[in-house]
Amino acid sequence: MTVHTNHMPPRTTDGDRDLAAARARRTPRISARRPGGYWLLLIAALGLGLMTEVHHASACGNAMVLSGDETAQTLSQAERQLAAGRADRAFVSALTVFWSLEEAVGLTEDGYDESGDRPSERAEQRSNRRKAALSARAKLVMAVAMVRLNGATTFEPHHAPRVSRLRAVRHALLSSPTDAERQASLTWALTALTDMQPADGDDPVQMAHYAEALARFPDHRAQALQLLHDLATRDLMPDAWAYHTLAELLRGTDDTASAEAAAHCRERAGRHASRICSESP
Amino acid sequence: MTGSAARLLALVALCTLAACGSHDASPSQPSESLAASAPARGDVDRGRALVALFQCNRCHEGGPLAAVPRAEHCVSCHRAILDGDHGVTAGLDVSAETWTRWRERLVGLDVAPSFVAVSRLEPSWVESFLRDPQDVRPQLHAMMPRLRLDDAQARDIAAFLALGGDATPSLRVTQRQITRGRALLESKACGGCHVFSGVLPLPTRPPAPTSTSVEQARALRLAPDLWLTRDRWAAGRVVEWLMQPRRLKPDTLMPDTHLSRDEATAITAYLFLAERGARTRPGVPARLPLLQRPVGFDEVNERVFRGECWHCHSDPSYAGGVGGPGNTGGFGFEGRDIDLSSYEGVNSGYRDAQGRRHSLFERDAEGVPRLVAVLRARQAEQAGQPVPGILGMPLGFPARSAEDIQRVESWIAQGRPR
Repeated sequence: MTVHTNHMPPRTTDGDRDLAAARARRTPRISARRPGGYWLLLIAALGLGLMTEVHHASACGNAMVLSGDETAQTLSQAERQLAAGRADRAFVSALTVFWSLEEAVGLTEDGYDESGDRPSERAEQRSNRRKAALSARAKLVMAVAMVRLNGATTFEPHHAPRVSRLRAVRHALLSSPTDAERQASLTWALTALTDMQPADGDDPVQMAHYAEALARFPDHRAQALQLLHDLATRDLMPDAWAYHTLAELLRGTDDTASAEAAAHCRERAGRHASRICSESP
Repeated sequence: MTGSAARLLALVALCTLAACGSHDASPSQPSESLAASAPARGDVDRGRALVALFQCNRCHEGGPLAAVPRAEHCVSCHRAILDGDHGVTAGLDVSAETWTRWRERLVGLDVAPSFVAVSRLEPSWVESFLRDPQDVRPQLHAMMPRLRLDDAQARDIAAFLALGGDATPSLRVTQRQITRGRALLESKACGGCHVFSGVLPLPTRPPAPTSTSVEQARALRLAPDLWLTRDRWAAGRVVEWLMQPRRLKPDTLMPDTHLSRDEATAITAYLFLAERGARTRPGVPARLPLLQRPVGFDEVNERVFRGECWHCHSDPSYAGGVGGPGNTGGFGFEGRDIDLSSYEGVNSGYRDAQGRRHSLFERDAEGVPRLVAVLRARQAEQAGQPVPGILGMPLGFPARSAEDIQRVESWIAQGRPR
């Protein structure tokens, strides 16, 4: 398993493809009889598709969107769950949002519709900027949740056949993943987070998430430490999680600095400190 | 003879005549001349481009500006919410509860003066107002924001807005007219809508209803402080305005009180020549000590950031790529990537003009975090003491209270807990 660094997105290796194929075999096959939940999801997704076609008061920024857009509300809830240390719940919420947006857009990640044909006109019309932004945001939550669950998930958004997705959500969280499964999930998360890094690489939230993922790979802990140290020096650590990761990275090499970072973690985490800032075994 | 002695003699003469005369201005009475309108000095074409750059038409309607879609027009959108027009939320599933909450919380920017006939105002005043906005309308929640423009830009915008305005000659008025003007202001119940700072308060008897209650409420909020009239207008134009407001500005909510020219001239005389004291401004509130109790993000968010801040400093990916003027840019401001809509966003800082990111909690020479400095700068602006190099926030809205700023400072001092 290879993880690329220096902000270069890791690419899928043969091993990754084998793993993905194995996963695809494990997922239930499409059946003619679709579960009721599928239709509910589809209706919801179509509704979302219609709702995102029109312009609401963009001038009000988030105030209006988060009051009236169910997808955005669910995503926002996922983000709050993630911040509060509920990575499992956040993962499932974000996954649901991700799929519903994907259904509404009718596109797979690389811009083709699911039959493999060229994008339809309808799909292109619906693939607006807002949905893309929400979709990316959901993917970010999933990737970070995967990291915080230490890879105890088995999910790759574009490998799960549509009909099996509800079941896939239930199976996405693994109680006892194998090392290979953990590694594959963490690699997927790191790839996703690498792809999301802005061109100038100066978005503190994205940087901190990326560093969190890098820190899961022994070969890249130095890079993670460098990123977080830079953010901390500039007082741009976005949350307690970043300080927790920094404390973990420093533990054993600079215990004083580690304790300082851990103290910042507890300060920032407030009432969530016990879930976020406890030392890893 | 010194200037002050001459002025005193003139006033004595005016008062003597006022005590025994019975008619208004006549050639035999001493009078004062009120200045004619002055031409604009700036470049109209540059002014037109600047008005587009600063997006004046997102708050002001009409006049020389092209209309913007309602969803991008702060005032129209807010008014639609207050009027119960659900069309403004096109596509969003807004519950009745949410709608009610919006209407309860929406206290500002539902009405703003239009640009229709804005050329009636003196360009020199428009210019200074743009550079140093004052609270013209005491009962309006929002006011003109302090934009990042220099003297030349303000002059050019004023010149563009003066387009189509005709020259107004000077006006001669007598002391008797000043006295009569005060009486007319009282009898016409002008104090029902207007305040006139610095003079004996006008009676506040409400004017006779001339329109719907909603319109009347909006008229009340748009009513300027009459203290500013002599700076904003040429006297001759005020006379025309008072006689037939809608002739000068068809969309005005100012009622027609059917004044004769003599009456309008008398009121103008009072507005321009009444002895007026300084306009009172609120002082800068004292900085409160840090709170000893825990202050979490939820409290600061609810009390401060969710008030006005996150409307302009929001997360673009939740709003179709539009993060507001304080995030992705607008109203002449470059995007600064400030996101005050979430805990992580607040802690992610801002980009400076060179694109380098800084913390919102960087301390100045006095140890004040930047976030606190801008909140306090707004308090100072309201006290007439703008802070060089710092735009007070919330921009164009009343300053946050000393208690709210105390919350923010305490939260920062406690390590910014979630």
